[in-house]
Formats: sequence, C-alpha cells, structure tokens
Amino acid sequence: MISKDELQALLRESLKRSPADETELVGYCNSTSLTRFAKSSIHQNVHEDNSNVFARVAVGKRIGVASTNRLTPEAIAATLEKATAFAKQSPEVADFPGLPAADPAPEVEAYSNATASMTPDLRADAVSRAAAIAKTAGVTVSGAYRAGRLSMAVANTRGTEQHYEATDAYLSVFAMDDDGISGSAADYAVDIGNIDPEALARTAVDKCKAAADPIAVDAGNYDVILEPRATGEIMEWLNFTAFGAKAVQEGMSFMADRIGDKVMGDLITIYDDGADPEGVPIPFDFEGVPKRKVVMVENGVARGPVYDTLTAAKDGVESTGHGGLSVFRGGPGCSNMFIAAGESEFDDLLAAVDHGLLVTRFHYINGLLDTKKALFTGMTRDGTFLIENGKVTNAVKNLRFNDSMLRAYSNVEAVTKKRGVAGRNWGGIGSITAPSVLIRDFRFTGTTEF
Amino acid sequence: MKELLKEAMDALRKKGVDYADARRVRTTTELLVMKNGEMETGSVTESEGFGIRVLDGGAWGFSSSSDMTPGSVAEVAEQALSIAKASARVGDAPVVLDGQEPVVDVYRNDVKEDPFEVPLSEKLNTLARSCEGMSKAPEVRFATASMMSFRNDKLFVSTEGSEIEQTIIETGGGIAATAMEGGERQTRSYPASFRGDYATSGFEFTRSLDLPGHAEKTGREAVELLKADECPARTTTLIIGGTQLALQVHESCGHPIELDRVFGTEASYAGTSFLGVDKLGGFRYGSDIVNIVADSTAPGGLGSFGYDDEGVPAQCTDVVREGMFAGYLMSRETAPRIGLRSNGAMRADGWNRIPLVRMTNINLLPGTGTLEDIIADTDDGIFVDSNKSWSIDQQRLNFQFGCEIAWEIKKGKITRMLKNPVYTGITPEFWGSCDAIAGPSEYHIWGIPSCGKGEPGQTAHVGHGTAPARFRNVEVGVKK
Repeated sequence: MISKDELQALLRESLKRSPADETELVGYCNSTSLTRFAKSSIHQNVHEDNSNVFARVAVGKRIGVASTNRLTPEAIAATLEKATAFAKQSPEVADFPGLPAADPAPEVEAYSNATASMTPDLRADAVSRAAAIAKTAGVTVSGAYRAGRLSMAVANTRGTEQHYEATDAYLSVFAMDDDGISGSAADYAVDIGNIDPEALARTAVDKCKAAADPIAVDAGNYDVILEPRATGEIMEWLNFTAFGAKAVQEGMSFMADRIGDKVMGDLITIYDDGADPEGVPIPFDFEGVPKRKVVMVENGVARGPVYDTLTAAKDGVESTGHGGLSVFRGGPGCSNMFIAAGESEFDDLLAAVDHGLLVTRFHYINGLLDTKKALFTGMTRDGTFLIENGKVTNAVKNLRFNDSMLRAYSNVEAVTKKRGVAGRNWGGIGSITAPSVLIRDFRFTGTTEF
Repeated sequence: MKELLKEAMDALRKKGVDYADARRVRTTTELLVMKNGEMETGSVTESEGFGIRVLDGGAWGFSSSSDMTPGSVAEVAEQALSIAKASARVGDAPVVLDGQEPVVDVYRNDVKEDPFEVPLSEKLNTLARSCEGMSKAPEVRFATASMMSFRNDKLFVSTEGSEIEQTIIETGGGIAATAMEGGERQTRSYPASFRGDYATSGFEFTRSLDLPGHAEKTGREAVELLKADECPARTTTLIIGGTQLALQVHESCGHPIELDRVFGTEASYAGTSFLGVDKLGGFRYGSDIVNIVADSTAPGGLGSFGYDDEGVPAQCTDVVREGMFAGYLMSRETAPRIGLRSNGAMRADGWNRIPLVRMTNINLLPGTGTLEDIIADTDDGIFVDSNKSWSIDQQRLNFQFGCEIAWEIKKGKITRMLKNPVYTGITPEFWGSCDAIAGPSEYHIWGIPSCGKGEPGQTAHVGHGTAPARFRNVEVGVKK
C-alpha cells in the first residue's frame, strides 16, 4: 500500500493541476483479506489490494465527480478533467456552500499491527479451532473472518489535508446441526487480538444446541428481549432512513417535523461519536470535516440528524462531519453509532418477562414500508427462544415482525449495561455498539417453517 | 496484460496446481441522478485490475490487485497459491471441478449506440424534462430522474487454455415522483422502482424508456396515492404486475436455486435454501402453468453474457417445468456434487472479487392472453405493482413485499386506487396458487442492477422475464 506521505503528496500535487474552481480529492487505499468457511471447511479465501482516488470539483456551483483506481498523476489529472467536463454541463446546485475550509481533525487510535499483519495461516488456525469445538458438539461451523487495513486522505483547494489510518477485523461464527438449526455469534474490533474465535464458536454452538427442536408459536404481540446484534440491525436501518439530514429535509425520516418531540422511551439515547474507542474511531468524514459527537435521540426525545456540508448549508448550520463519499451522494450518515448503555444485567431482563421471546438477531430487515412511522419488517434467525416466568424454556420457530420502531422503542423497559459491537452490514469501516433491550408488546405477524 | 496473465497461468501449471484462472477487468460506470432539476449525482467511476484464483490441494485461494505490473502479477499469483495452501489445512471436502472444453473466443453484446458517446448534454436534458414533467403536480415535492451506463471489458485465461475476451455494455434509467401532503409521503416510479429498468444494450434501450413521456402521469399517480384509500387487510386474489413479479421471482426463486447456497456456503450470511437437493425433480414448486428458466442467452437481458466468469458458455436451462422443480444455478464446483455440469452461473463483481453462483436471467415464461383478460376474469381481488419493500427468511420461504400502488378489482373491473399494499406468503404455497400468467405480448425482461450476495459484498446485474400473473388466496395487508 502507498505510504501516507506518498498519498498526501500525490493528492497535493494533483490539486495544483485541477482545471476547476474548487477541487476535493479523496484517496482511499485498502488491503483486505477474508476467509469464509462453511460446514467446517474453508471454501473462499481472498485478498485484495486496491486504491481509489475520488475527485469532486466545482465550477461555480456546478459539481462534477469522477474516480479512478490508477494512482498516477496522469490518471488523476485525467479524472479531474472528466469531473470538470461533467461539472461544466451540469445544472447548478443552488445550496452548494463551497468546499469546507481546513479544520484539522484530532488524532485517533484505530490501528492495530496484529490486524494489519494477519496471515491466511493464522486465520486458518482460528477456523480450525472453531471447527474442533463444533465437532465435539456434533455440529459444523460457517462464517467469515476478515482483517482489513485502510489508509484514507482528504485534500481540497481550501487547504484541507487530513489523513487516517485504521484497521478493522470481523469474525462471524454460525453453527448448524444436521436439521438446519442454527446459532451464531460475531464480533468486530480494531484489534483482531480482541476477537476470541473460540469464545465466539462456543457461543454459536451453545445457541445452536439450545435452538434444537423448536416449537411453533403463534404470531402475536410478545414481550421481547433483543440481543445487541438484533438492536444493531434495526439501528443500521434507522441510520439509512432517519438519522441523516437529507432524510429529514426530504420528509423521509421519522424526525422530519418532530425534532424536540418524544419519539421513543426514556431509556433510549442514540448517538454517533467518531472519537469513541469502544467502536471504531473515525476522526473526519469524506469531505475532510472533523466528526462531532451528535445525539440523535436523547432519553427518547428526537434531537436532530447528522450533517454534511450541503445539508448543513440548507439548514443554516455547521456540518457535523458525517459526509458520505461523493460518488454515491446518498447524504450524510452515522459511522460510529451507539445506543447508550443502561443499568440492567441481562438476567434482570429475563426475570422481567413472564411470557415472551428472546431474539438473537434478525434477517432481512426492511425499513421502507413507511419511513415516517419507522415501520419495519424482518425475520428472526439463529436462535429464537420462548421465555416463561423469567427463564428460557424452549426454542421456537422463526417469526416475522411488522412494527413501528417508534412504538417498539417507546416500550423499552430495560437496557443492559453490557453492549456488543457489530460491523455495519452494508460495508465500509464503521460500527454499531448496542446493548440488549427489553421491549414490551413487540408485534410479530407471521411464522415460517423452521 | 494478456501475456502476463498467461505467463502466470504457465507458472502455476508448472507448480502442479489443480487449476487456476485469471481475470483482468476494466469497469466504467456513469451515474446521473437529477432531483428537482438539480444534479444530485453526476459521476464517472473507473476501476481496473486483475484477480487470480488458484485451486491447489482441493482448496481455493484468490488474490487481486490494481497494480498490473509484471512483478505484481507474479506476486499476486504466488499469494493466491499460498492462500490456497492455507485453505487446504481446514476441511475434508476437496473441490473437484467438472470437465469443460477450453474456449478461445471474443464476445460483445449487441450495441447500436454506445452510451458513453452520447453527449452528456442530451442525457441531462432528458433528465431535466423528466423532472419538469413530474413536477407539474404541485404536491410533487421531489422529482428524481436517473440514468446509469456500464461498460465491462473482461479478459479470462485459465490453466486449461481458455482465453476469452468480453465487452458488455448496459444502460437504463428511471424516474420517481414523491408527493407529500399533511405529513404523508407517497412515491410513484416508472418504469420500475429503485432507479428503473436496465438491459445489456446500447443507449437505444434508455431512449426506448421515454422517461419524459411518462413523467407527468408518474407525478399525477404519486399525488393520487396521497388521496387513495388504504389497501385493506384480507385474504384475496392477487394480480401482480410485471415489475413487482420480477422481484418476487428474484427473491423466492432466483436465490433459493443458487446451488452454493443449497450447500451452505452462504449459510452464515444470506442463508440457505428450502430447495435441498432431495427436492430436485420431485418437488412441486408451483402450479402446472409455472415454467421458469435460467437463461443467460436472452437478448437484452441484464443477466446475459457470452461466458460466465469460469469460462462456461451462456445457456438456457430449466428451473421449474410445469410446476415441478427442475434445476439449479450451478458452478463448475457445485454441479459435479449432484452429478451435473455447470450451467454457467459463476459471476464476479469486478476484478477484486471471486466469482460466486449468481442469477443470470431467471425468467417466468409467459402464458396466454393479456393483463386486461386476467382482470376481466377476476371477480374480486387486488392488483399490485412496483416494489416498495422486500423481506424474506433465510431459507426463502416466508416472504413479505410492499408495493407502491394497488387497484381494487370488482367484477372484472378496476374500481379504485389503493395505497400501501403489502402481501405475504410461503413460497411453494404461493406459486402453487398461480392460476393465470399473461402472454408474450405482456412479457418483458426487467433488469435489476443491484442484487447483493457474498462477503465481501458483491453486486450482480440480473434479469427477470415476467408477464403479469394471478395468485389465489393470498394474504394481503398485515394482520393486526
């Protein structure tokens, strides 16, 4: 991978050759390895080295974007020409405030030598140990073990120069028996040394064994305990449909016209904090703006979204440092997201349920049914259990839910102290740190055959 | 580059690997999105590199790089081999590939008008006129028009002697109007939701969509949806329009017939499949009139190509024949495990991704008559179209779809527009209830450029041929 100095020098020199009024260059270099395994065998084992430069230029208020993965001065110059040609022919973006001025971001610790030096053999060793644990229990394991290294630089013609180097690692372990009954566990960290493959394998295997012989329960309203991954999956969709300023400005978000309103329960506080090392710290966004801590929901009250420079200009506020990559322009979004921890132990949650369900995780959530009501659907998977009189008594067949997340999270009665960290399903570096929550009266509307 | 990759294949062959292949891919993507006459995105992205896949000791290794110098090619080949050796340390199911004849060929899809040669000003003008048309209705707050063009230049070489060059050009676009009033928000799109319809074709396909010509109606329908009645929850007869049926085929047929998924290699992520190998040939998937094929030869289909990313020729094979489950999407690795040969469904999302079993064009073959005939023949039911939301369990049994729009049908006539329709079912029961499929005049292969699968994530461009169809006793709405 190109060094920090070489990358920054390349961007700096390229800016000088840009024909546009304003120019922003993002250098994004990654080296990623991933081992996938299924039924206790490695079936996919891959490595990728790639570097991209994304150019965003402005000619007046006309914007053009182009990218290349050839890291040469000539290729970047050609890319700038293309972006400028685009900009010259494009209609104006009336609210474009100009590129952000220089604002150095604080240093964060997000790099691990252990992650950066992970080898295929070390990954194979870990998979082998997980497979051995599964074999003892008479099941097999599947999953993915990833280690990645990222070097990202942002430079613009207003003097912005930022650089960030990070690693991240992810391991999912999914245990399955001969009947297709499954349990799973996963972890995500900057330092791969903080991920314990054997502990994850034991959790997945235990879940799988406990999930055997599921009974069918009727759809209906249940008190439900969502484990951290299930909560994190809901938060990922809320990030997409609600927490970015564009979603609010376009009336898509549940926060549109409701900032200051009580939308969830007292125990729910949701925030993004690029500096918090419990997730994966990220110091600035794809526009080079330092990330500020933003509380989107505070004790159940909608406080507001995260911003990039364009959405901030529309609302007359400052960017919070949550801009996305210019080629996608999906609007701003969270990258290191948290639900505040509560005061309960997991067993307290269990003890508070007379008749309810425990959900390990969800599958295929969709949050587009009615985004203003945050109406979501999805299926349970990898371990769904009946709770009776404060104890887990039986595995149950999977269920479909249809519920407003505003209604559901207004009914949160307890939140655990302990939180889990999950990588984002939709790629890119970033994490969601979430506790387990007890929700009263969660709405399940359908069942399936397993 | 071709010579460098062939040298790498020679070197790996001399080292005694079971098999190796290399792909050099150059991808250019143009994305234009205009909202209310302002550019939301105007971008051209280019990516180029190569990947080498090695099978050694019965296990796979893959490495890739954007550095295409001789030293890098040799290094990546070595790295792929060493990764394969690490893979071989875990597991006891060595990979065996089917036998395929080496291919030396060049393939280009039929393109009358190169989309990258069409002046940008013309494209932007089309998008602007589309936005204007939708915005004629004052309640339309957001009028979005988009176009995408793709060019993929691919070179494939293997230790078996294949040398295949392919150039595939794809285009398409769509429009969407979002109307808002009193806190409510409704979106109507054309010709399909989520950025429209796509094809392996030149810009002539995008022109044929006539986005500006459909803009005003699209905007008007978005406004009408605001005032429409809520779709009632009940079990009823459901007629599904072509664009929504394409996603129904995608989720409830396309994914469960991926044979790698059946064998569990996606279990931890996207899930498995209810269509286990014990069901092949003897399982009733749908009613007698349900015939589905996997056809990568269909002209214009977004899942059409000359060869897949293992060098296997494009072909058309049965998936469901007269309602009975008849075949999978397969690779050279998975097919021999059920005594068959690959039907050419291995596809990779660029140079830095390993090929996976992916959909091609999964087409529900047309029946007879027209949509009008089906509606006229329906005493009481709901007609839905244009996808809004989707969700299905990890074995692909329990599904739920939301659509942009519905119409009530009474005594063979459309009586009123309905909003927020949702329907749910269990896959084989649902397809078993299909009692009418419209004929060839209504048949179209819808192009979906956003099918996700795998870790790291890969996006495939797939097609689904459909004509509107009718299903009985479907649960519409969500139970209270």
